[in-house]
Amino acid sequence: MDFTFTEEQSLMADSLRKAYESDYDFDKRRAFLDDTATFHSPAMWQTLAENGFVGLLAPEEAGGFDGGGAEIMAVTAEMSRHLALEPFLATSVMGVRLLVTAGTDAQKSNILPQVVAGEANLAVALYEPGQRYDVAPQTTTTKVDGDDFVLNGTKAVVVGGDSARWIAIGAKLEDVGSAIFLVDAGADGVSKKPYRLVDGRGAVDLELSGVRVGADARMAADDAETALAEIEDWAVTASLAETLGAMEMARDLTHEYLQTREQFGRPIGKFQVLQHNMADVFSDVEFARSMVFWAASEVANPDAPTRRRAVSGAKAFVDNAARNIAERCVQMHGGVGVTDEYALTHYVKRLTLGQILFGDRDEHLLRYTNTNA
Amino acid sequence: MELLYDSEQQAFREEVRAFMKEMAPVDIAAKAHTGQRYDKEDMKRWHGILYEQGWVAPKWSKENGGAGLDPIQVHILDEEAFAAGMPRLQAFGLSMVGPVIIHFGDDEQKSRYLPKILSGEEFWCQGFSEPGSGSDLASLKTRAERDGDKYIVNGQKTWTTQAHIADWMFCLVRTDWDVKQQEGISFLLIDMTSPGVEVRPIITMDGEHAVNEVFFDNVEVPAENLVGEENKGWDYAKFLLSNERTGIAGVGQSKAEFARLKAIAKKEKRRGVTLSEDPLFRAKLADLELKLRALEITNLRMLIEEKEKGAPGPISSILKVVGSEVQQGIATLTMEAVGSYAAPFLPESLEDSWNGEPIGPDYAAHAMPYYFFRRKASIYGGSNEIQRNIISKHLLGL
Repeated sequence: MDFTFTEEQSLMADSLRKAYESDYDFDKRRAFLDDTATFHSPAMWQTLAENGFVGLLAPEEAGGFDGGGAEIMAVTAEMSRHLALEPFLATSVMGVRLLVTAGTDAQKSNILPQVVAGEANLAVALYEPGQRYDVAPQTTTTKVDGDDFVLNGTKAVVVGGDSARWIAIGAKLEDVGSAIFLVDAGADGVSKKPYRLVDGRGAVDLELSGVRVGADARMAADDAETALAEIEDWAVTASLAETLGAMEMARDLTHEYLQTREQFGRPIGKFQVLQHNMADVFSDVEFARSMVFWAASEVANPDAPTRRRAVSGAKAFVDNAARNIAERCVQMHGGVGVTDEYALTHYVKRLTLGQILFGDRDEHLLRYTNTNA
Repeated sequence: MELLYDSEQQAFREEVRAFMKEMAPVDIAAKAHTGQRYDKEDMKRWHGILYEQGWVAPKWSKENGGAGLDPIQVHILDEEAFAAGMPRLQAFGLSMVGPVIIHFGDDEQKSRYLPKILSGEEFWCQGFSEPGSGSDLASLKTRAERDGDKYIVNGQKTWTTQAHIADWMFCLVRTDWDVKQQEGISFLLIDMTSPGVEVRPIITMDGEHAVNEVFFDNVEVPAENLVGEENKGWDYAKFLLSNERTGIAGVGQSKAEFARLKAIAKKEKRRGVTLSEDPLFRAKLADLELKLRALEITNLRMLIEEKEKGAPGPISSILKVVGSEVQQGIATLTMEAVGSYAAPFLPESLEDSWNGEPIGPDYAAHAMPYYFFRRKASIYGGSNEIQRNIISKHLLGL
């Protein structure tokens, strides 16, 4: 048993920290946040690609790092500490993992190297409007037309879809079953409504009307739901690590505030009610960290129920901690804690986003319960 | 014991409801359904309609131009206005400085300020908090120095809601530095157009510009703008706060917002079943509804007491604590009900000026900003920590 990161994993986190510290302070980040063309820093994304982060989960022969849950945990937690806006979650976690597990040989050899090099981003469309957190395609359908497939339907809140060159789309097949298609985001019939998520990252709603793709666009998954459920669990795991990074920062900012803000002639950290609240935040972070370890160590488990039990169990637990931490840290700050110009607010936004992306607490409690039979 | 409203109160409710049905502007009410933001014009229009009806200042006595309603009637009016989707009227004039002027102001101040508060011609803001004086309000440092027939004001206020659209500020200033903090504070009325007043926006995490910093650089304020006696301002501020205690529970607004949450739960589905039929979500709705019901009945108990014996005093702090928790609970469950579509962040789409395309259902864009907005409910007006201090000190003697 070992709850430390390897030297290599720690070095990765260190080099990320240095890159973000030098080019991405709070004020510079605001410029990226206000950039409606990309919602992130393309220059930083290139830096990440050049240093091997974009291909973290890709096999070595594709130029990747062949990493797993532990690497994702180390890297995403560190990026979250800097409120990174880059599409790592969409491209490097969800997209690359899907290509690795469900890509055809041609897709892997043609597309993966471009992705790893930071030249083409990916996104995976998990949900449809009105279907909540169900990844099984319901309203998106495909028809066979000669050698081609023609796709119709809508996808909701596709994280990273704004910068994606390729978007993976689950669709019901005509007769029975479902499949995933890797669709060129610029293809005829694909219309994207881009917007900013609450933490500033980009996403799109997607409308597909008569989108014609060749048979080579079809991925090698037996059915869409099983493959997308696995990708969703990777997304949850990465999102939990982001939550952990944001929790640590919210905790540290609040800890500092309690020691510097004075009211009634003394630092407010001298008041017992705030001491106890702070103690609970400290404790919540550590228990959440333990649960993120659990998810990260099981996310690559080939036994799907074991994987899901850990990931959903961790999500249900950590969401609760994230809400308590976010709300307590705001409360301990008072008015300052809700102002946009103060960093805490932005960590709180990320902590809140994490609670509703990729399944909320109720959804994961139900999933966990279902694996408990 | 009788939990039901009596026939007279029922009749009043029917009268108010009929009025709302006839007079509440449809376009303003429509904003409530999707959580669009009311702008100053909406507030002015609704203010004007209530003014014409004579209900704009329900608590004020008739001699001062109010409706002279009793606390239960005021509560009924409040509930029905929120149920009709109308905005909260600007409280700073009607509920805060108005009663202070009525009780402590001179005749000239009454005739100068009260009519324009009633008509809605003048908007007010509250200059209490300062960067170094939040929970510890009595430590405030903004100073007013007497110079002949005027005061010279220097300093800074913060979290000043609506300062950017206000015509006047009622302001706590320090006029004596050599006495106990509470005994050197005065209550001054400041014209926001005075030279030396600068308002800077504070953008909050819900993307809204509602609060501001206000700077005073040698601002000249006529001495006649002092309310009551110099150095008695702390007493007037305490009166102001206690006077507004019973509205603090926010029952009317929470009932209206809870009804909207239930409507959303009837539309959103989990695994093919609406959230209103989903056992997990139903249990959460029920929990919250019961807390709201407990708040409502407790509030009514205090209103009856107020009707019979006058302002209820520190016990109303329990209403502030639980009232804010209910408000936050509704906002939290609303965000949960909306699900993934609470993740897109488009606060600009809540403004009239927006003409983009909505993302997701029409109630979605409101959910996340509203969750953030409600974090303030346990901070402003005396944080819940301060409320609990009041309860333990003044009610429990601890």
